[in-house]
Amino acid sequence: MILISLVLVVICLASVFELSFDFFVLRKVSNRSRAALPTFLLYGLMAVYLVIIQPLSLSLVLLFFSLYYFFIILKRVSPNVVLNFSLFILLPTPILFLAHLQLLSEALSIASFCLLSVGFLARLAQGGNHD
Amino acid sequence: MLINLKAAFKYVLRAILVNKEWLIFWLIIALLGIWHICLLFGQGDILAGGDNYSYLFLGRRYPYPYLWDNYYSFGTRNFALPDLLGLPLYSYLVGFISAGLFQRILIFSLQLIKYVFFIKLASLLFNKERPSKHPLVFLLPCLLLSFNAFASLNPFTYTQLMYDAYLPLSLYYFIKLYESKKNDFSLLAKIVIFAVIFSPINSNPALSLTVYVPQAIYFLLNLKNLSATRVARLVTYGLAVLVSNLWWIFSMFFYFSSLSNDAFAQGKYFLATQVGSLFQNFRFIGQWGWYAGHFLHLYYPYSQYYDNPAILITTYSIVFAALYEATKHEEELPILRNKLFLLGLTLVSLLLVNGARPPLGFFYQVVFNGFSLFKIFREPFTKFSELYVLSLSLFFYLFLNRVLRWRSRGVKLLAIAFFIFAVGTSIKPDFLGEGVISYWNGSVRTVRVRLPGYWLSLEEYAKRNLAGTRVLDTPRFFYGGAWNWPQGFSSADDVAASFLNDNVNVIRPTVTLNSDESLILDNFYMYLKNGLLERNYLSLMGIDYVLQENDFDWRYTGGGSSSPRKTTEILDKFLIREATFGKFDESYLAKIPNEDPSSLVRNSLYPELLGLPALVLYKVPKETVPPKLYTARRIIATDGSSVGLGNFFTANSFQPGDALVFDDTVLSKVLTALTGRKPSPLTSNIYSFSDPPEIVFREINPTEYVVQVKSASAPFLLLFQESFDGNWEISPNFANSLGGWLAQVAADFQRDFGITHVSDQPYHFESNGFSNGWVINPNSTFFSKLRVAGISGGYDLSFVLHFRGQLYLELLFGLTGLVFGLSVFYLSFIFVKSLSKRLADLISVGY
Repeated sequence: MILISLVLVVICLASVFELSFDFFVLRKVSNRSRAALPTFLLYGLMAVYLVIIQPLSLSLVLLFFSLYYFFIILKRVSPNVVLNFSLFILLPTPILFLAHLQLLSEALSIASFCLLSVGFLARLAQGGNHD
Repeated sequence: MLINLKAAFKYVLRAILVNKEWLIFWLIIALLGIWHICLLFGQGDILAGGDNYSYLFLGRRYPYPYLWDNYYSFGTRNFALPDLLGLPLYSYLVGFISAGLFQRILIFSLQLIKYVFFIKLASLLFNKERPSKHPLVFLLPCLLLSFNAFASLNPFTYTQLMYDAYLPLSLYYFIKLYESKKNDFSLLAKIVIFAVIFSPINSNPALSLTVYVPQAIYFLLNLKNLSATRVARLVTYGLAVLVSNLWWIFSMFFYFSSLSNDAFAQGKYFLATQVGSLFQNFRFIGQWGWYAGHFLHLYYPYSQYYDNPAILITTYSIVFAALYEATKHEEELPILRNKLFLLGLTLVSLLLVNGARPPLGFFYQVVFNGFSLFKIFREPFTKFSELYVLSLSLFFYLFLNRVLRWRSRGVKLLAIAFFIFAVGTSIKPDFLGEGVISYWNGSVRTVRVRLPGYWLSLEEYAKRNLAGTRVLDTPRFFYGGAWNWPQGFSSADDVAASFLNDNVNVIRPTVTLNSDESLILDNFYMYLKNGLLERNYLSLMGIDYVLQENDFDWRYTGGGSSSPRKTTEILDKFLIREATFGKFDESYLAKIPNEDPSSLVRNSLYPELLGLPALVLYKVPKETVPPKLYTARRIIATDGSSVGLGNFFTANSFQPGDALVFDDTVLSKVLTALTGRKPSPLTSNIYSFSDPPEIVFREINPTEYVVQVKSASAPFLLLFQESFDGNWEISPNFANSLGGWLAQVAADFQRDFGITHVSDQPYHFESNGFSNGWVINPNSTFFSKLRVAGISGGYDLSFVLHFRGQLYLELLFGLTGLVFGLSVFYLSFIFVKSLSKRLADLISVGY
């Protein structure tokens, strides 16, 4: 079971990485707004740092930022959907934990946390901070 | 007046009857609180032990407002000042009740304050648009806030309990101040008063700093609402908080600045930045030792309970309900905005709790590696979890409030019943006091303590006879040692430090000792253990008494301590018993638990202790103990190694007037300063003074000694038997004079900030391996204003030996006191004014 969950996580992460990279390129070519430049710079620096230090974190950071661009800037999906999805992912984690699939449970918790963050940023960008 | 009181009574009674639902709520809270306290204390008089040993100071240790702490071995820079207004002040103010009762009241009160401000905070954030359906809706979130799995880690640690109360309180006032439409000075006054009252939380700087995390998030999320008025208000808030905290910030900075080769710089520290899992953090679990154990027991015996499938589901259902509320979209913008703030707090706190683990742990790691100060957050779970607990409890309250608005009565009741069950099962271990250690576990004993009578007898004896003395503890104490008491005790510091107060300097191994002091002390214990001790070694350390603790359990010190009987025999050989306290007879020994699984270890206890006094106090002959301040008759050079010291004490007799110098370079400088020329090698490593002057000294306080020297004509050595510290200085006598005090503060300030150049201090060096020595030349320019011609020739000198920095501390105390006093005065004025107005109104409407 642990082996299966490991394989699943690796596949998941590989897909995430691939997906992230796609969005990264997509964002770069489709929008050259000034606001994006510092983010790209940060992105590049982080990527260099993370490739050396923490490949797993790199994948998830890329996922985080890619989803941010995908959901917020391209406005294809609403923040509510993201937040609902984050809970949807969180829901089975106790069951996975009980089934001794701790690694998968943790991976889903992390994914849920990332989506919660994305949803939070999205909602914030929509103007939650107005009086 | 009578009419006014009658009107007020009628008004209060009516208010209670109108708010009877709240009365019921607080009655339930109070009853649950009392029940919890009873369970927590069990059969113990007081809860103390491990890192919480300082509860033993209750009723014993009073406020100590000095930068130099002479309660620690040989004295050290005081790092306990942030707690000045905590246990020491409580001991002073409520000394008329027993320590155990006061501890119960303290824990209960702190929990009550937490509930009050949690409810006020929730109401401030949400009640305007969505009032709570019933006060009882706060009950479950309050219980969750207080007794969750995270809270079970520190069920009675008072810094943690105080922090838990201060977190919602400080956030409440911050938001109120930020959102107020006009400048409200009463809010600022309350903030200052609470900052001072809750200043003991700063004993744990890592924890206290996190109070500002939610405030920062709230500020950042409301940046768009920032106006010039708000900026001015925030700056005033920052200044008020800073001014009321400067005194302890200064003392902590002063303490940490002395640690040139501290543990952090050397990388020798416990690290738990990558421990745990996010899955567990979600439900308030993640301490590094959650599943670990020590010797015969688990650290947290109920950790398995939380992994029971039913409990796992219930604990997660609360988290899920709270997060459901967090993610639920709102139409009302203020609610949406405040929910976003709480969601931000939830995520940031989880991120911080997560430490250096994926997904974003590298940020934490970068900051952790890059900034020395951030290393105080080496156990992120224990520092940031309360932020997460607070935000999740607020969401849980909102969720329950939503449930009460559901239309279907059946579903509503079912949901409420389920969540009562869920919260009940989640809080069970902490509420029932299962986090309180109540078993025998080798070097760990129960924290439900009853103080043995013989320690209390020693305490009484010390008050009468030991004030101002230096008492050395034997056998050697090790961090986390245990004492064989019927209601056993284990502690992070030697228990004698709790019972010997009134300016008694208890010498024992402590974590604050620097390497030189450790060498002296380690050698002493080594010689004692091997039976090679020379009495003059005690003279070197200025020891007046030796206290042998036969109740200290030597069996769990890894062979570091000798057995009680052996140590007593050794000490009996060359010291005279001054007094004994308690006696281990068969009936008493039968009460002492002894559960080691090894029969060899187990059976060694009772025969060893039988017939021995529990405590023996030995007196060192007065003529062999040098006074705290003295002038040297001889300088003796020796090398600062254990072998060198061993050889020295075998071959020589250390006299009260001697000064040991370990370092060749220091010796050379001392001799140069004394003779004014390049020194020639010493004969037999000894330099003798022909006629050292006599001195008289008076202790004003632990940081200030007035010294008078008679007829000094030639350079001499002045020795001061406290730990060496560069901040001990000689200055003009400013004692008992406000003008002198101000002049000295100005002089220190000008010198520290490079405004004026002050003539050099006499050469200051480390003598006797731990203490201070000065080469005093009465003819030098430095003493030109501190001397007068002596009647019998030479000069009479008069000066103060003071610990530099103390005057700044006194200045900052004054500043904080002024701000605090003004705040109290302003609030009292407002209160009296509004009370008079209300009474007048009541009378006018016919009360």
